[in-house]
Amino acid sequence: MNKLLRKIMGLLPAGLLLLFALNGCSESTAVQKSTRADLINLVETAHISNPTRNAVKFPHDIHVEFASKNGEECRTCHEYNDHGDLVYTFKRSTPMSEDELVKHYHDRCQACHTEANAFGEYKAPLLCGSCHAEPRRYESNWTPIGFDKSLHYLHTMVTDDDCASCHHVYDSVAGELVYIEGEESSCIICHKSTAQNGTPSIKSASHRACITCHSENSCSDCHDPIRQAKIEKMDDTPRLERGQPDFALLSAGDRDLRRSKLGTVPFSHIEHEEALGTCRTCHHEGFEPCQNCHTPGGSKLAQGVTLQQAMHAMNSPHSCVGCHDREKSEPGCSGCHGLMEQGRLSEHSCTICHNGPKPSELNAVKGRFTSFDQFRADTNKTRLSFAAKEIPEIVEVSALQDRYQPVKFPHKRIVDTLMAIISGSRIATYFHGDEDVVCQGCHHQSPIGESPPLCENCHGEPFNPNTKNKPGLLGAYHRQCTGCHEKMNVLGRGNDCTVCHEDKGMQADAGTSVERPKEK
Amino acid sequence: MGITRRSFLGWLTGAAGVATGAKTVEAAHGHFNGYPDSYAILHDTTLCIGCRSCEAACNTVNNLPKPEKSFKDLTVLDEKRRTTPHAFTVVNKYTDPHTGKITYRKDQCNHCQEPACASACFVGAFKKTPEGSVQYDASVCVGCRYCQIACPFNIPTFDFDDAFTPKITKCTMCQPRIEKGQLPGCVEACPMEALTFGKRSDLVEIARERIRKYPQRYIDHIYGMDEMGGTNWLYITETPFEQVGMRTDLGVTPAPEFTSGALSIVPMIIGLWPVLLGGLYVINKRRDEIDEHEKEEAVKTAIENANNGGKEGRHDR
Repeated sequence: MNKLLRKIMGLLPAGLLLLFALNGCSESTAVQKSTRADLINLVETAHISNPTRNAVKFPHDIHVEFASKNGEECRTCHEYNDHGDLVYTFKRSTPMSEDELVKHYHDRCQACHTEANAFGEYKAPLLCGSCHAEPRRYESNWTPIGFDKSLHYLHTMVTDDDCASCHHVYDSVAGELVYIEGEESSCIICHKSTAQNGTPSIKSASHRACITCHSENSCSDCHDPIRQAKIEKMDDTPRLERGQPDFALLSAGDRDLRRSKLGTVPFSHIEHEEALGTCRTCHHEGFEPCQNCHTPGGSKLAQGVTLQQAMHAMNSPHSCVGCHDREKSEPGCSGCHGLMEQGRLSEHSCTICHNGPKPSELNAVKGRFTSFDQFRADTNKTRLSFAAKEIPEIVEVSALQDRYQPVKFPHKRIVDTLMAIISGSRIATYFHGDEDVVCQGCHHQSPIGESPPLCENCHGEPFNPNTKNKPGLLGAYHRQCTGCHEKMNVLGRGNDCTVCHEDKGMQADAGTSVERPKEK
Repeated sequence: MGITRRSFLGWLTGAAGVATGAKTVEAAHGHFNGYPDSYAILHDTTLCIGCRSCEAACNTVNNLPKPEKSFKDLTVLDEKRRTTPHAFTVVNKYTDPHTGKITYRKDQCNHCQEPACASACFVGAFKKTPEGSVQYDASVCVGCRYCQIACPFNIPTFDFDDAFTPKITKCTMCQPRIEKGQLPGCVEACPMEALTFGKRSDLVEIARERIRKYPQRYIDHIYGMDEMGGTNWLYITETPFEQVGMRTDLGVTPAPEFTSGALSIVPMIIGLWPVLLGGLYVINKRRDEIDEHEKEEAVKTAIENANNGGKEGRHDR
């Protein structure tokens, strides 16, 4: 007996070594994960009583493929409710307790997997860890799909402009879904992220609406970003007609007509439609006037977001200022705007938008303004107060010369480039409409005009404790030039000095002053 | 009877407990907030373009040997480097795996307010100066390299190539230049002013102002503000700190505080050693005395018995 024990003990280290070796092998031959858009996270399958088991990430398309090959239908896994609609939970339409769920899933999954294995074509897993684990071979690339103008147009062509095929409202008296012309809106206006008072969730409603026609499509046809990119893009889409105006003078609403001293905002609705492609960017909760929820003082309905915040919140994608601020991160804009302070509007900013007639004058001017262009000083032009030939061609920057020659700065070329970018954009031409405003990208915090002050008038020695965040002249030049170049993707993040500077050739490389004996 | 062994040991444990308890409380209250008006350097990685001008300047002002590859050779940025005996500072390039965005970060001694190297050095070769830098004194160094192990930022290097007078090397924050009213070499050379030199309190203000002005550009944290009890080299970045090779697991407790509790008992044990040995001596002596006394008694009884009976003398022990 003792002899046997000794033998086992002797073999133990060898066994352990083998185990380590095997372990190492399995790690080194880790499977390259492929992406799938059909992995459904069945949260209810995370064992609450045994939390070491993960929720099952269920690959839906694999199961559909197998089922259809073997003559099965949706009915094999899903039930139909009383209205004849498919219920998306697995073979159940009523809520279940945890114990019931465990038995429900285990019985049905395992039965089918055992049967499938008998065919030999697939190897359906049966061990706990095979399903209750992060998938070893797959990674989810599920991406939500939005209905933009192009996709909408494709659908109107197929349905022969029959809006009723998708759009509906709920008639609570008749208890049914009806189509009312002119009341079309985005699905998310009624269908929220979870089901509410009998209105299905957006997930459930959109699947139901889409699958009615797209019964042959799989998850990845819509939710795989690679396939989404392949969906045809229609450039010339007709306007989504819903009785909306082309142009409006925005004010806080009738209630404050007499009180507001600030001008109304001339607003080109039609141009915003073209630029955004969807209604829900602004009309995020419905098509009623903003101030119905966003009252000037803030209401419970809008979670306290006042009308002022709704229009000016910098961090919201729905507000005017928030959306316009995001536009500034475009490479063409961010060269100048990226270097400016973020998230703060100056006192001069108000009248840039609020330049319409005052709310109290609205009745008097009724019908006089019909288009946004009536408020532009000069359509499609950025104005300069001087002639093109007065703009310096080359500016030599020679204030600091240490290791490099002065820089020949192509001033005119840069002005021309910026002007070209601005004139290519409707939004940019409008907001750069004032004289010489474009010059301020570089000649900042100084009077606008023909002869701006020199950089060294303000930027001197660095690290002055009295002007803490003002860079010295060296820093000011380099930050302005490289900052703009980096943001506009011109010459990248230049770390090679000689791209702009010509080397003086002397003492160019530091570290030459002391030579240490060479190591053996 | 005086002291018994049991009561002596009882006092000993009690005394030790009181002493350590008192010391812990003292250590918790004794946090050092840095020398007032000490200098520091703020590294803004969003401005750094990775031109290696700082490396070149560091090499010049410290009279270091010329490197194999020129400072203009930017291909050295392709691999991660650390400080060496001949390079007190290095710039490393980090690429965001998701966005591909490149961030450069300069690495050098962070000049901790309460340096780990100094707390590990048993000859006191490291000193925190009121100007803010951590200075190394080679004349007292015994070459144990505990400082290398202690440093959480992996900075001090040892001159292994020098067989006879090896030294620990690290950034000095250009202490001699600061004393002369000059800027540290790297700061002076930085074309982007990605390195700002000034009073630490001013730099904190500057960093906060930048984060406020450009909330989308910066992570809302000044690295070195509290890390390891605070450092005199501060960082602000756009990329998460761990993505640019900075440790975020360090906590805010200065290194000396981890060891001060345990080390503070050392002098007490040294003080108690004579008492302990003295006590043992007293106990042993007393036991010998009792033994001697009993022996005498026994001998006396035996002699008496012998004198009384003689024939039937008996050993009663």
